[in-house]
Amino acid sequence: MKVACLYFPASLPPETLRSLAEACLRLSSQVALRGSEAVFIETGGSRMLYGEETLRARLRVLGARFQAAGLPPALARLGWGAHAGEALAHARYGASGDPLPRWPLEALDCYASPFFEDEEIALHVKAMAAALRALGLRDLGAFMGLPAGGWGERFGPNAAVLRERLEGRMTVGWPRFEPAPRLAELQDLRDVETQSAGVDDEALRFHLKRLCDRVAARLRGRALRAAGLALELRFERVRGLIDLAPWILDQPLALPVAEPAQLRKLLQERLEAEARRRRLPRNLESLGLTVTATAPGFSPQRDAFDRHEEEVEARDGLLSRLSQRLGKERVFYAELVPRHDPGRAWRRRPPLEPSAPGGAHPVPRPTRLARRPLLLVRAGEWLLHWGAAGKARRWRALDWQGPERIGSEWWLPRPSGEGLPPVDRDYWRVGTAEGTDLWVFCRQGEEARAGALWLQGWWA
Amino acid sequence: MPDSPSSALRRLIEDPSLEGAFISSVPRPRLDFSLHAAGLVQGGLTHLDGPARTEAVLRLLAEHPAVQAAWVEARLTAYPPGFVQRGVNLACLLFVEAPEHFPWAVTELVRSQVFSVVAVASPLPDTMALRRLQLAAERAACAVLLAAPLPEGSWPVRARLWCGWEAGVLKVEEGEQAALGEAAEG
Repeated sequence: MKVACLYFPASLPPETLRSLAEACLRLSSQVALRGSEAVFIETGGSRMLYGEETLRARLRVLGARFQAAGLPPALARLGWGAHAGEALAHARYGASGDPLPRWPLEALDCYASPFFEDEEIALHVKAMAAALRALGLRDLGAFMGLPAGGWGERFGPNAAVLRERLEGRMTVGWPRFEPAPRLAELQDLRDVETQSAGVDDEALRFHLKRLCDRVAARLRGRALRAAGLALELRFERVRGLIDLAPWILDQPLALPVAEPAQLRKLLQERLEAEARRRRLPRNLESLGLTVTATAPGFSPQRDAFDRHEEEVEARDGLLSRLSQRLGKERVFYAELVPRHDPGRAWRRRPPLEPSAPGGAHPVPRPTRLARRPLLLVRAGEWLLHWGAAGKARRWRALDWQGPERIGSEWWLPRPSGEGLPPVDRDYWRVGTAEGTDLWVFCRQGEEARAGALWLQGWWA
Repeated sequence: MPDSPSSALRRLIEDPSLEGAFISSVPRPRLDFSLHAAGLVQGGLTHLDGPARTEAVLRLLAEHPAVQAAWVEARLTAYPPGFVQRGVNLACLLFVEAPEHFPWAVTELVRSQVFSVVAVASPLPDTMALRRLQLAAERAACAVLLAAPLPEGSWPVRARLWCGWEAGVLKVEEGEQAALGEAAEG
């Protein structure tokens, strides 16, 4: 077993430390907390995955990410050990090259109770340290230098147990760590010194980035991706005025996202859209970000062999942003459907849906299709279309190829809401002097006899 | 009377005392295209004009079936069954319909670096949008094909190609102003 201990001499708020421990789950499944001052990570089981230096760098970055804004980033200390007590003592009292460390006798407290702050145990250890100091012992090295036999008789059972723990023979069971049920983060926007609210646009982006970094780290610890977010904007309290209800901006995501940069872009888009719609009534006091829906999904290992994972993450983020602003039905892949009706020969496939291969139609089809057929007037060899505001477009027809008769699909149920049954159509490919071929049809029956033509598509 | 900026620059380049002071720019990567021997520039805007511009885009996509591409249009008129007949792989072609926020959607697609080719099938509103798109294309090394009329003063466009049919064969030729774009590239 090898244990890393991330120790904060200036204690962090308990919920922050819990969030940090949750983020550390990405490194190891065995994580524990000590009150509001330390996180333990068992790394022995994954020592082939992380080198000590790599793990040290990762933990330092994580530690800095979860510290409150405005504090210097290097407040966390990192300690290593064969068990939790040794790692905590290492983090608290610094490194030592000696085989028997020159840590003070108070370090015995770390071995006695690494995971909990117990006043009774602390008193026992303090009394023992005083007794040992009276015997002339100054540090743990001297403590361990005493002869091994008869510890229980000379110093009492507690000393014998501590000696065993220092030698790594009597380890302590790890308490279970459970992440918070709700994945939410809060960012205080008030100035650290003056406690005044009100941030400019640039500062707001900076705070948003921190928030997204923390949420993404926790998501990664849980091996989840965000499928829905809620951004809460809390306004400052002003004496003499009624407190305003916070704004809650819901952001359902078309595709689950886990990368902090993608989360930030999505939320920034949402904030900008909201800012266009309405003004902030007061200065902002804090920002809260809650993950309202999740989807399973490991965060990709970047640059393992190529940039594929990064590209997938960037694509998912892009699709979410586009869907959010333009609408889900407007960002899609196309899929062919075996139908004769040209307008129904394909469908919009959502990006997440797997694709089904479809065969190409045997008869040549145009590259562009009008949203709805446009009425044409035939005047000699000219075809005219009167558009909006009386604007006319005309083509000189040179060559008519066809007809290709497309009949109604009587064997298929008609969707509800469709009025008259579809009429059989005769399609013509019309070569024009302008160089663009037109796909023109006429309906069977009365309309055909009247000579009405419709423009369905064109080759461009 | 002062020289125009281009003639002043030309005089500086031709000055023998300044020989070696100018470093020619690194040529941009190009996407192979059978109808245009020089290929299409990646990291720039290419305008496709003529009655067969959609066919030219589809030919390019058919020649690169594994390339991730996007087709963006204000009101969709693309007809995917016709695309498949020309050999386009629909699994690699994302369609985006943006009746509102059209310039934003195009720029986001290009900037994302997800797509190697982005076909813009509706006109952009102004030169500013084109300029923004050109910068995004340069940074993302993306081939942006403008298959729609250009706004006034479209100087950010790097190359202009004319696409049409000759005796039933699809032809792509450099437009009149294409040489200007090439000269600007150095």
